[in-house]
Amino acid sequence: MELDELKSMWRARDASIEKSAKLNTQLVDKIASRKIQSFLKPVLIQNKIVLTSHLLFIAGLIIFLVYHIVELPYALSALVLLLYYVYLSVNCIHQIRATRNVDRSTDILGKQTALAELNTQILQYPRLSVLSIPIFLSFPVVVMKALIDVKLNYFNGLDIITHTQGKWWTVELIVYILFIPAGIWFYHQLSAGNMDKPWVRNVIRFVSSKKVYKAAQFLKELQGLKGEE
Amino acid sequence: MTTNKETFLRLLEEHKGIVIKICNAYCPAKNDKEDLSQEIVYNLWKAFASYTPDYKFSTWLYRVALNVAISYYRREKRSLQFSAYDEDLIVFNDEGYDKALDGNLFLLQQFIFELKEIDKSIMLLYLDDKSYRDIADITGISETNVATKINRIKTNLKAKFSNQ
Repeated sequence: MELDELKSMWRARDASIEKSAKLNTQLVDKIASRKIQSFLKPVLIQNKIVLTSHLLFIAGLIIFLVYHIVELPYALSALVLLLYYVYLSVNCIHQIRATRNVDRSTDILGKQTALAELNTQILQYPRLSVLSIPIFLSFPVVVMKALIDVKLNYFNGLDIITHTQGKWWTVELIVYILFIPAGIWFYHQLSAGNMDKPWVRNVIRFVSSKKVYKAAQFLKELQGLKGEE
Repeated sequence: MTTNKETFLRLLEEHKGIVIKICNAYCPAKNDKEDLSQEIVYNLWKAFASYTPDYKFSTWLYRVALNVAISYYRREKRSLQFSAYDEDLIVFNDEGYDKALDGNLFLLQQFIFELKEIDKSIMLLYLDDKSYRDIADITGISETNVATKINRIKTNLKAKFSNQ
């Protein structure tokens, strides 16, 4: 059978169904009167709160950096944290934009991409896991020193760099050299765009739920549609 | 009823066929069709404030409804946000809605069910005689890409029919 003939038959069938259909206007009225809170609103609020806290932390780190710029262990630790939180903030802004795009995008590709990005948002945590190792080491250096600076005696005035006689700093340096490049590489690899690589697929399947895994697959498909253009 | 709601009802009545087609393509089960149709109408009404008449209503409706259908289809279960009413949104004066299809139309329906979400929407628009430009506008995919996709779908469809 020719495709055009098939198409005509299909359209004729559609027309006959439509003819026999009657819209239940009372139900439309009921549906239209409903007030359902969008699931996007809490996501948007959550991202805004997280972004604000990141920006406050960044401001604190900049002040810390200005005061300790000549003391390498503190300056470098603060710089690593600063870059990490700047990255997290950029990511947060991206998520806020994706949330808004769900409402603003009208075409299928734009809206479904924004939705798939939101559904795979949780993948940020495993993606950042390797990069978080140097962060864990930098955190006590900066926090303890900052507390001493503002004369708060939370850790009995302990400064981890001087307390460990530089050993912490040595470990930190080794971890920076090994884990920062590895973390950046891992972050870029573990994305929906790399779902064609078996190890990426397996890691995403292992660390996330079925829903997130399927959303990542769909995001890859949508990115493919954009890429073909 | 407000004038806005009356306009919406009139336009929806004129274009209800699109809602029926989309529900038929994305949901094989009758209950799912009913839930999806209600979710589509809810989302259409919610988005109606942003509709401008310089846009073709059918194009706008296709965009909103296909997006709802794809999201519904991907969720595997009904949205917790929207719980459907038990009554029917679209009432049929014969059994046309559920009547089993014979021969080639049945095969075509099976073929549509098996397509991926985005391909399914392209196929529906193609069967509705939409131009490549309109399909590109609704889906957000370029016209060239739409043409490639449709050719690929047609080839697969021909293969399916020749195998029967």
